[in-house]
Amino acid sequence: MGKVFSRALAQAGLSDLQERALSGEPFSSAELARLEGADLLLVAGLADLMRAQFRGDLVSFVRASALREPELRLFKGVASEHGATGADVLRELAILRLSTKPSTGIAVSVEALGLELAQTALLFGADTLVGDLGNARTLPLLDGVAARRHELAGLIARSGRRVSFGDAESSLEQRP
Amino acid sequence: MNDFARVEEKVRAGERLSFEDGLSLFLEPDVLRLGALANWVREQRHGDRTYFNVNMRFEATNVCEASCSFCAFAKLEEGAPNAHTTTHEAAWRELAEFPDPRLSELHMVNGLHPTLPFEWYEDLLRGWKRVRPNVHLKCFTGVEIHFFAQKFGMTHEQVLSRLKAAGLGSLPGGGAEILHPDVRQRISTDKATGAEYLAAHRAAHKLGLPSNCTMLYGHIETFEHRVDHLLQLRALQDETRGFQCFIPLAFHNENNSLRKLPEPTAIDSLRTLAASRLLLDNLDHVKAYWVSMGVATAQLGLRFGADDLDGTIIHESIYHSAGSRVPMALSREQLIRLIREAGRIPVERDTTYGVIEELPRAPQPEAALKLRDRFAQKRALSVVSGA
Repeated sequence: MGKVFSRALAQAGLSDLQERALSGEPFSSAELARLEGADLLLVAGLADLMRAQFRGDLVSFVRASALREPELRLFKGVASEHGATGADVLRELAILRLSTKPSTGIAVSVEALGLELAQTALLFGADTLVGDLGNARTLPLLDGVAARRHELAGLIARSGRRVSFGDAESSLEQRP
Repeated sequence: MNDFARVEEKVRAGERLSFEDGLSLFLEPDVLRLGALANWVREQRHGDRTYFNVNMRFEATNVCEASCSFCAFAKLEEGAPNAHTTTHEAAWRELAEFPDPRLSELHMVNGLHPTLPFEWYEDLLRGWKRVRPNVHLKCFTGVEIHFFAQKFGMTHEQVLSRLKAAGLGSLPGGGAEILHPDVRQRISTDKATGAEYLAAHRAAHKLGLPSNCTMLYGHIETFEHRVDHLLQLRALQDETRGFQCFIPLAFHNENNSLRKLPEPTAIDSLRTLAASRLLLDNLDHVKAYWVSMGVATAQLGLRFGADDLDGTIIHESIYHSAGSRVPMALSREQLIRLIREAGRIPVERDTTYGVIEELPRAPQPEAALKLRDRFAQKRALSVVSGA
């Protein structure tokens, strides 16, 4: 994550949590409580460290009807009286990543979050996108499932990750 | 030391970033790392203060001689379907009857109308000043200013002096698109060149009219074009110090001739915000324009280098013509909540960043409050196992 992140963690008195994110154990309630009110990017950075270490860079896209993986938790968003903002949703997602066994995947619903927030969720601890390609919000490039798959693969690649559709893995370079 | 680590060191040391450094920002795969660096710079400048204003958009005419390939707003001539040109009376009435007394800015961008006389625009501004003299008029892009100069046989300075005398307070930043001619000649062949856009802003700054600047990203341009664009803006700012704010504008692909191109993603928007904050070391403000990048991404942008969310807008046509699905308006209260939920301090500003009201920060982000509540009550997370 770089020196800026490490310095920011140190300034917030959270340096020890960087090692904890790599320890293979979920954060305890006491450790999560220390993240209350912490900078959103610090919480994201810790969740991203855990995700990268234990789940790698591969992003899986699975249809909602085929959500079978036993070691997967589906993030359903945040209930809020006034409607959750993006920051609410992503903070809660990162907390879920940190409070869950690191080998367990964290999935987000494209339909529930929308494409923009679902892609951004990949920076906040998510490693799996759930949705039905035909029903996902507009992926308008070309007709047909293959083209839509390509569009989605591009979306994931532009977040700096690789994508798997389950039946075949594809690896795309970042957008030039 | 890799490229980005070198950039981090330069930023921390206060050194200016080069073209190559700029490219490394756009190519850095760790977007959070990039965001953290931009956030550091943002907090050095502004702390947690985050600006917004109560403004309204107005488009006097969408009739436009230019035929930019990314535009879904313009109509080529009067009488074309959905072509519209306001009357003075309707325009003045809309401002006079605007219900919010906190309104501080009217933001107007128009098509390049082939037949309206210059005096028509002067009268429009004078009328607005008559009905609501305290509202700042941020009107006419650099492209419009250049169009007036050409059409009416004046210099940029003459055009701007007359508009200033009629009530113009500043220029919006639209029309910059991508300044590099290789791109501009393909997407905007028949309006101001990049150099002419910059010349119009230079003239405004010399007359004491501040302006904003923009970049339309995510279409046919490369990262090299983006960096070149930002460095051209930085160079003019070195010369004049007249830019107040930079606003990256995400390309939208509906109802225009670039509709086969995918739109920039949320992460591209966050990356562009962060890179802009880091490269534009002489601009005070970088805006996450919620109409352009979406409300959720704009809010996150406040952690990726942006310190401004723009305003209430009320009615926007340009992005909505191109398929934007964001609301037509956000209330002042909604903007304040978005800023607070991002952990920032809302500051209502006027157009030139004078502080109207600084509001208290939220004691904790709402999600953090939920977290505490969850621990206290031993409630389960709002998630379910996928198995």
